[in-house]
Amino acid sequence: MPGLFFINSLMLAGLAGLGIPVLIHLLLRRRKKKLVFSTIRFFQQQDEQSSRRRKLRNWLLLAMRLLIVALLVLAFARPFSRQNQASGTARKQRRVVFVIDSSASMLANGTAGQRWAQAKSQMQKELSAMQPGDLVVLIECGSHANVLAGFAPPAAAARTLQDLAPALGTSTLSDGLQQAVRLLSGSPAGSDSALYLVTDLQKSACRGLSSSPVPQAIDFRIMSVGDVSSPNLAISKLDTQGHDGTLPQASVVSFSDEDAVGRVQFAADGATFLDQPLTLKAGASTNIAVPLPALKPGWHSVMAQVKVRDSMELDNTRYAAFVVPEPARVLIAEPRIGARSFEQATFFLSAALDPTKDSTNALPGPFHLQQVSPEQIPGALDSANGSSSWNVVVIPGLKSLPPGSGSRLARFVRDGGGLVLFLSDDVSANHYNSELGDLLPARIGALEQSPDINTPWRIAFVDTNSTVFSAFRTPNSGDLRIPEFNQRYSLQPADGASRFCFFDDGTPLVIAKNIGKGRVVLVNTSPDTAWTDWAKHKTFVPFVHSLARFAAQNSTHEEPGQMIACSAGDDLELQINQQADGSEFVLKRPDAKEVKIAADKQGRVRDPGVAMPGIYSLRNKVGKEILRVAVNIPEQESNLDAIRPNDFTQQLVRNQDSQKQTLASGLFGAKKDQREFWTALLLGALVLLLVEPFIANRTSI
Amino acid sequence: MPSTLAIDARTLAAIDDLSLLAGSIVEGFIAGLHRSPFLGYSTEFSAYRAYTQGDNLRHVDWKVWARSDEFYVKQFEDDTNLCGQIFLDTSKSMDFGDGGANKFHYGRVLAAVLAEVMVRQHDAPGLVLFGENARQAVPPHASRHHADEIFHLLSQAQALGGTRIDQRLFRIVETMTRRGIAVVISDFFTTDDAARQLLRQLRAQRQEIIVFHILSPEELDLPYEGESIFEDLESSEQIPVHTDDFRKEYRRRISAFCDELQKECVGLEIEYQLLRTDAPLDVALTQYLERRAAV
Repeated sequence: MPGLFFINSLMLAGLAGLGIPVLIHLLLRRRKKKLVFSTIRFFQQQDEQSSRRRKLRNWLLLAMRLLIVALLVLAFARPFSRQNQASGTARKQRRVVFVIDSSASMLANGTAGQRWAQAKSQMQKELSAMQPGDLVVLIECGSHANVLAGFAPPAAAARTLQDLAPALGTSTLSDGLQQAVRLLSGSPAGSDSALYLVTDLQKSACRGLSSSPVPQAIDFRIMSVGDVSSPNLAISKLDTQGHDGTLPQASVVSFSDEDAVGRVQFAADGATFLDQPLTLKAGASTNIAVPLPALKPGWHSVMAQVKVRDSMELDNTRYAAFVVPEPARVLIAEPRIGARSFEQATFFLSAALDPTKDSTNALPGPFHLQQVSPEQIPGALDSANGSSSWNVVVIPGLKSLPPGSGSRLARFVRDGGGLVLFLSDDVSANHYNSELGDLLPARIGALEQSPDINTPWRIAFVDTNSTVFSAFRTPNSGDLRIPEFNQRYSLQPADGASRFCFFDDGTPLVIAKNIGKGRVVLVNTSPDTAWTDWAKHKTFVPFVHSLARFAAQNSTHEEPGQMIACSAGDDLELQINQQADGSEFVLKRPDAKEVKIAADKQGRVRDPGVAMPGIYSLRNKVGKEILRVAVNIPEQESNLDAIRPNDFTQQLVRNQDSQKQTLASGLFGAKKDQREFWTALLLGALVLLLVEPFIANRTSI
Repeated sequence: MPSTLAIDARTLAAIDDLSLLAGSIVEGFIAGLHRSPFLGYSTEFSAYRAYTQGDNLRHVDWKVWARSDEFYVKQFEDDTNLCGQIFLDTSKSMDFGDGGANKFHYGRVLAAVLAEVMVRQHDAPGLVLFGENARQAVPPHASRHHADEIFHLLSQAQALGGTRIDQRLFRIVETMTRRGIAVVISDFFTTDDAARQLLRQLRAQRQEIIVFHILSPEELDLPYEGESIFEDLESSEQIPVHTDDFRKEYRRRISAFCDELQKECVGLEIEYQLLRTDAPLDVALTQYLERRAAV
């Protein structure tokens, strides 16, 4: 039997106040006045029933007032009933939710062994101690919080746990707690709810706890594994592209309070090409340049690895995948072929596009150049076919174009080739206009000279969104206002032409036009230093590269593929191409296992399953490699610093009410073994106080 | 409106002398009228007759003597033969209300005023008091002193006992053989149908009847609050009543009672006038004079 107790039993003395309503009742009960009246003949038929009703209302009013006082006194005395646990009542069913941190940091080793193994061991022990009637849910908290199975007996949960492997992603424990609270809020009345959090309490996983309150009614426990501080070294970054002229590099970070000594190795396509000692001070980080070896066009993978003794081995290796594109084939018309190279009109262009020309051990550059005389252009274009076809033709300012070259160049462009035209003093505007005709993005007008040698024209606007000037998108990538221009042609842009760059007065410097599958770019300056000093500035080479790449973009030339990198467990979506609708592909995983996957209607491959770190290779039916994906451990998982369980408990919000608050819990409190009644009593008194005036007004004199 | 009529009942109550009171009221009332109804009460010429010894020389027509040298006396027809019987209810129930609002006092003043008016019109006022015992207090007679007698009796009268309308009263009514005006002043709180029988009897005696139904404001409005024990003035019977609850029903009942009486009066061609004791007397006097003119 539940007993009734009072928290403020002294307040019960207030029950003496029950005399007050009685006193008021007696005092307010007026004596009947005696009135002498001329006749009572009109009173004789008064309804006796109304008199009885009035008396009844008076008694009801008194009873109500007594009850209000009694309820208020009892409410302030805070009565509660306590369930007698030892009275032999039936044991309640327990509903337990285990939130398991399955992030990569759980694979770290500590003084007591691997965290994941510890976690599973503790959970198995807990599950075996539970009663068969209890129900258990396992929530895996990796990159996402996943409910592994609905409420099931402990034995079934133990079997699920046995096969459970860490997700290797980054966990957010608050998500798991939210799911757990939601599950437990649906628990039937009379059952005990418990939430066990199995985690290493890594700091990065403990963010946003305030958004996941856990009701007081839920028994919350932390099953902590691992140490608060674990020495660890990790490769946090591996960038094989290299920006701002720097070499590709890897970043090594120490999350340890001790100096680390070891070695760092780099391997490309499985072959080690760099192996050097590494010394890193406590808490420091370093960047190591990666001078990549010469690589053939196609997909390549690079692996960086530090060999050092630390808590977590998984983050000591990092992967990167990239594609080396086939060099673009550029045909350059050189009017002074046979002259010394620096005397040639296209010297600066050739030097910019192929700086290692004539070197014996040079890496293959992004462009494959061939110089021909202007007369040889039609023949060169005709002789090429298939893979040896030209992507771009560059023509410096020529006095006259060879006969028939105009129509041949037009056909080349329409078929997808790129034509880059420079101008010079030699150019006959009329000849160009008539020979090239519609190919020109602008009609060439008169030759113009800058009015003053000391005030040359300068570049006023550059469209950095276009590929032509993509090299200058990032800050400090070169000041294009420095080059000076003394001569130019007046240009009248053709319909459909795009201006990517123009001078102060609006005259175009770079203007382009798409024709058929290809495009023509007209550069309103000389390719040498006759009209401009641009070739002497550092912005010239990136400009020429971008220009050639832009011109070749519509041809069959493949652009360098975007490096695809993601973290283990991420939801990955690979965009192949529109033509891949429904096509089947084979994904080769790091463990050499192959999985067949199909592209959707938009040519996308969704969630191919990249749980383990390493290189994933996607091949088509014929075995051609479409792309590679490098999957790594999330950077934040390398910092194994954890918070203490007490600190976690303090950060956790324990609210009074569960999400689905029942009326009973609102009235009698959330504690199931102790029910408080003061809320219900106050509520009752409030209701009576509201009703009393109505009845009192009906009965008052 | 004549100024005297504006004197309320409480002020009138302070005047003990009914003669003075009635005279004042009537004088004020007459002075306020545009056309005096008293013009016709003087004697009117009827015929000549030869002078005989003992005739008053004032009545000799000297113009005729000058023409014919004979003494003729003018004969006048007197029109003040109308009897006006005033029936005043002296039952205990009439003794209700404080001061001037007392129904009995109000009724006495009303009776006195009516008597004064009748005397001034050379009518013959009479007074019948009916209560526990009905009695012909003053028989109708037209003289100035006769009114004083009525005033005296009215001032001596007391409200006692119940309202008994019995054979004794009916016998008095039966003596009213001459056509006249009967004014009944009562609250009509009788236990049976006797009051209506009285009205019927009077009507049967060819009397022009005016009923002044006197009720106090307390009887009409029941302005009391809370629960009280009401004691009947006549029977001393008591009954507890919660006036707040019952007021609405009481007003409905008293209104129905008045309406029923009025309907009865209309049926008998009787002039009915409900008078609140806090209202001036002009209504009653106007009512009487209109009825008097119709006779």
